[in-house]
Amino acid sequence: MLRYLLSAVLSLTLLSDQALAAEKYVVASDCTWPPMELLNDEKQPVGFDIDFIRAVAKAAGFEVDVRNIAWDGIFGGVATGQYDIVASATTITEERKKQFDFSDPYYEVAQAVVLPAGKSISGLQDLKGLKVGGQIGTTGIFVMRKSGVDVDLKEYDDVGLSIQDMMNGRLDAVICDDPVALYYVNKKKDTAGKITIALVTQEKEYYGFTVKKGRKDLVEKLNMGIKKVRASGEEAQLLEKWMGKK
Amino acid sequence: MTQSNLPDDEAEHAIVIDHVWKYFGSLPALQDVCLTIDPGERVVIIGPSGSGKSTLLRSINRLEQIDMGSIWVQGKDIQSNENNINEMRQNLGMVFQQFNLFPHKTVLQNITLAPRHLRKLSREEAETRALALLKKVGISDKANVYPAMLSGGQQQRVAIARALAMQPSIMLFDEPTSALDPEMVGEVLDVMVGLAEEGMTMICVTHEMGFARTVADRLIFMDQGQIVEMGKPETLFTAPRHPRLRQFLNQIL
Amino acid sequence: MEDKKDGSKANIVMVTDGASIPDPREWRLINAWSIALLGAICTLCALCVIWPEPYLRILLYLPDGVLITFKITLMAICCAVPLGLITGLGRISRNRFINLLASTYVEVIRGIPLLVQIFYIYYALSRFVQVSGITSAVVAISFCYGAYMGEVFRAGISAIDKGQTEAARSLGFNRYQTMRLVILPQAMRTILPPVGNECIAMLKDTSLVSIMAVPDIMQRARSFVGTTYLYFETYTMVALLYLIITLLLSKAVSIMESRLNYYDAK
Repeated sequence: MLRYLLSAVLSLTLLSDQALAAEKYVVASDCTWPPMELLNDEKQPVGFDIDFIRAVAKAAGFEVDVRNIAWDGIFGGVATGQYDIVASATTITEERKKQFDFSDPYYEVAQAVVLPAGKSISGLQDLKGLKVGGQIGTTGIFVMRKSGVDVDLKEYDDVGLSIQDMMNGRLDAVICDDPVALYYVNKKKDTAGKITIALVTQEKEYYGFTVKKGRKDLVEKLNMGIKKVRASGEEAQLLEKWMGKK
Repeated sequence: MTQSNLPDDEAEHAIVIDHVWKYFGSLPALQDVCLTIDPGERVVIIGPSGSGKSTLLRSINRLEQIDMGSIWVQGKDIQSNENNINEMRQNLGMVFQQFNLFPHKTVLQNITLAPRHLRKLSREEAETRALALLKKVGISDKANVYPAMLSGGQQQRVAIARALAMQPSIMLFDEPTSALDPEMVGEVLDVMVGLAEEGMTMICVTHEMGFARTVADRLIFMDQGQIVEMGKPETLFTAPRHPRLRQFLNQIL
Repeated sequence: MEDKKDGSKANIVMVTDGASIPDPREWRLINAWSIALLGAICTLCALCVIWPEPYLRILLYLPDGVLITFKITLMAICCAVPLGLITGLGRISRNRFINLLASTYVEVIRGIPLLVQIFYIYYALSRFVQVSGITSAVVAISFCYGAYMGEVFRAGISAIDKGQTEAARSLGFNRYQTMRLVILPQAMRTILPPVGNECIAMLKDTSLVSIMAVPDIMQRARSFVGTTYLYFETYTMVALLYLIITLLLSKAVSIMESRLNYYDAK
């Protein structure tokens, strides 16, 4: 009995190894960050990042299986090997680089402070003493912390919930990546027109694909794919599709 | 006869039980029971188990709701909303088969609880009275222990003292010695005999025939929810008329 | 209708998902409780001494979360216990309306997961009233545990011998006095361990409120992980911290329980 079980397990492992040999990588994406990644009506992950990683994969000659994974814990999964790549609007930071490897930067963002329509600030220091929300473990939260401005920082599981809370009056401001802020301010039906981007930070950040520390092979493939997609003009098409004309 | 009170000539009775019916589901527990008890009278009710004697006793202070008929205690209808049953119960001391002492209170607290809360006695006054009652039932030395540390006989004597602390004019005893070990029956009966000698109105459901014989002014034999025979104890014991009483006495004596 | 048949079950006060309350008569030095506590404390200290980076750093990051967790738990206990008592009394009430109200409340709340209730109160009710994250956490947890505790109180009260009620009523006490002076003080003893259990379960369940951006232990930990990516290390510390807290609380409940046993025959 045990022998059968063992052989079954063994053949399963071999099968999965073969799957790896066919170069199919699992990609994790937290689909709460429109327009970079979100779920469409059929509950499938879509967005700039999703299209981009697919284009990169095609160009570099591997396949991807994109899965929706909650942001809180998304890095833990890549560290323990549950998936190979995080393509989820991930800013390359020094802290993260200590734990993970990143592809070349593929998109430039800044942090945006979103306020209810009609309000304004001239700098982060104007938020002093206010309730500011953001998504837990995102660079918006880090920027707010590093700024040293004394705010009541609320960390949500999902940036959408923090926008919702600001609309309900529980928060004074939300900080997040500027493409996301733009999406809520301009595109999303129930928030568009009710909120405004009051400030965009000067300091730029760059998104990169995250892989487990030491996966040099994967980083090389990703970088190669990124270069090809750029050169072919496909990147420009995708940018226009998701961000509109600049 | 008015709704809630008996006319004066009838009101002299301690208890009037008038055509009382009580059902448990569809089973009649009391069937058309009529009984009048005068102040100072000592009534003992005997009968086989399930004969309705405890139900009758418990109906008097409305621990059981009767279905038909009426019961007056000192001229007041116990079922009428005009009469406060809680106040009426303060005048009807009751002693249970299972003692039912409050286990979380000491002996002294068991006795003083009701007088302090219901009669608004001061602590000192309630305790003085309670100690006197404990002396009367013969367990002065146990005032500050919890009931769980007493023997059954001692617990039942405390229960009697607790009932007496409200200074009721009528005492109801519901098989007070049935749960006791034989050697403890005597000490409880002694207390009850003492009470009888003081002239307390007593209704007692019991299987103690010796007690019934010495104490009862009137002996009542119940069976199947009815009062079958009633009279002087000697008469019932020596010349029972009803076959069911004869059968019962044969079994028990 | 269920209540009348309950007589046979009346003596069983159910055990819940809280930490198990140590038996107060268990005075041996080596038992599950002492092993768990000693183990947890030793592990915690050892980790902090041997690898102060990152374990000590994590430990120092968490205390304000511990305070919030305690604050929410305490406030929720203050609301849930009276609510449970009222619900329990309502469940045994002879008044049909009150009985139905209490029973419906218990049925509804027991059928909805706490996480959903927390979300519901936080987001759905925010259309009508503005409440802070902590307030809605307390409200949600109190409502949820009020229903559970209602059942504990009901079971505890109906476990008291009927003779006690009869004795009190025959002395002339009304229903309310009987409940207050005779039944509840005795019921407290059977009720305390399961209520203590519920309170400990409640403390653990407060970790759910981190989804409402309330900075409790769990949220602090997640926030720490969000910057450092030290998943294993951080959650090890969080687990140890929760364990030590619940073990200490269950001991406190056990001590209280033994204090309530004063009137037993020795």
